[in-house]
Amino acid sequence: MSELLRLEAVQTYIGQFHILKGVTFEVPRGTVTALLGRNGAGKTTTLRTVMGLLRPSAGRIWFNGTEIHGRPTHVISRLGIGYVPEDMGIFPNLTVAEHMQLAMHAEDAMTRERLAWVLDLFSDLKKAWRKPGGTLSGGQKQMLAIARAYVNRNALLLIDEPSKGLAPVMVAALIDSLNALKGETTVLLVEQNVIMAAQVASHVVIIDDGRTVHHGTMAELAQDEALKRRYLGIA
Amino acid sequence: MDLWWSLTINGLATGFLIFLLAAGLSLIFGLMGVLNFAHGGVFAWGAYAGIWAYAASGNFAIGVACGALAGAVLGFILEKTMITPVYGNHLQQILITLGVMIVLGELIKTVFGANPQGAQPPRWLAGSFTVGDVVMIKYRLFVIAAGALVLALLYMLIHRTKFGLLVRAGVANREMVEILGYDIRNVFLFVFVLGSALAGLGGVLMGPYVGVFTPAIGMEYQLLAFVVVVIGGMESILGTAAAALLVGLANAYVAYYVPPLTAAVNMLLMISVLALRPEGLFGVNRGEN
Ligand SMILES: Nc1ncnc2c1ncn2[C@@H]1O[C@H](COP(=O)(O)OP(=O)(O)O)[C@@H](O)[C@H]1O
Ligand SMILES: [Mg+2]
Repeated sequence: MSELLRLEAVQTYIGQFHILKGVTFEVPRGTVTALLGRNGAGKTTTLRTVMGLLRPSAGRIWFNGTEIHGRPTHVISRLGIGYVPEDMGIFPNLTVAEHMQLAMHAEDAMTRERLAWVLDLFSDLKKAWRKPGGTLSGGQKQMLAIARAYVNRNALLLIDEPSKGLAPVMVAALIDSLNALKGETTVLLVEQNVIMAAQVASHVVIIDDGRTVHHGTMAELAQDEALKRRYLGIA
Repeated sequence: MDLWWSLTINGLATGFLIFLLAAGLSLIFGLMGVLNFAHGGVFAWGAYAGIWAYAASGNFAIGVACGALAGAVLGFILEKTMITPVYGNHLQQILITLGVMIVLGELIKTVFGANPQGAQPPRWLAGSFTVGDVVMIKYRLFVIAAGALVLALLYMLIHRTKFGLLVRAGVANREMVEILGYDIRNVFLFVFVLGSALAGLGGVLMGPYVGVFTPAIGMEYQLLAFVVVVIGGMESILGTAAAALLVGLANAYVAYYVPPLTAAVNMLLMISVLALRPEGLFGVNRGEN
């Protein structure tokens, strides 16, 4: 089994709206896979469905060989999936320190080491350590959201548009960190910024109008102008 | 001046009793978004069960423990059977918890009889002593001390423990708590049971304070507790405590100095606080996420 995550013909409704109409793809172990598609294609809905925040009406989802669709979100999280939601999910009333305390699943030496590493990576967070989440800048919130997912030894990270709102220097740090995690951690990355995605992802999945329409390597996509124009709106 | 002192002590004691009821109400609403109209029924059950156990055992401490325990057990049963099915639906919550409130009141009459129930403080808390010209009624001081102790413990629980961290996070964003790997339903259950235990404790402490009571105390104190939750805001336990003391004191002073206003004082308090600070006395305007 070379893939860590597999979705098969997943369909999801939000209320009475049929949003995912057939999503099928695999995320190979140890890779960064980019999930691309235009605005409203269903990328966020896909991640929320994997996390158990939305229940698929049809199809199946495997993580590490186990079926996870229909399981509660906290159980899916504890299986080793970290999720950085599009809205970042920062608690306005909790300090940065409290965010990290809550995020850490263990207090062992390894987790503390990871915490130190994450805080080196995003040193802004160290400066804002005692500040409430509600007072952070957009970029700081994004860093905190990512730091929460990095601090545990998750096997898989689902990251929804992390570069949004980040200064270019922080985007560079983010790219470095994703590259540093490679091998140990598998990442499914939703990204509007295709240039950024190209710097970290080896594999690509494209969805359009709730359906997977392409599956391949980043190298192929880079060559395929027609594909990019058709589904990503880039010339 | 001595009169002012006794009114103040009276108001503080009443305030702390209301606090015990309002703390659970505001925690449950803040975290779970549940408007729990059954809370006063749990308070009344705490009073009846606790005073019954006190009379049966002859030991006040056992009575107090039983009052809190009755609240906790009722809270557990209510959360599991009545509240769980109506999460997220305010109208159904109001209807079902109001129904439970009525049933709890009727059950008290079935189990304990419909006659008013009497309760006396234990001997070591009976009577009074004087400081200068001021008469200090021991049981009132005891209620104040007990309320202050509960407030301190609750504050520690919410602000100094990992569980409290989960509660505060859950108040802001339940979904994110789940994403971080915690079962929010367990947090809900624990908070509901804790709030109900505090209501039961408030009930049994209230018994000897008023001397004679009926199942109607549930509704009576619940209305006060709702006023407190509105005034104090849903954000902090200190806000709830401050609002409860404010309501207790205002009722004590007004009842003596301006008797005609007695019926209106709580409404007036609520209107003036909300006019000045719509988010409640201690509410914070949450920065957008
Ligand atoms: N709560 C909702 N109610 C109705 N439609 C929604 C809701 N959330 C998302 N959608 C719709 O689902 C589609 C996919 O949304 P989303 O997964 O957020 O897209 P993406 O992340 O690719 O931009 C969009 O058309 C969006 O309007
Ligand atoms: Mg999206």
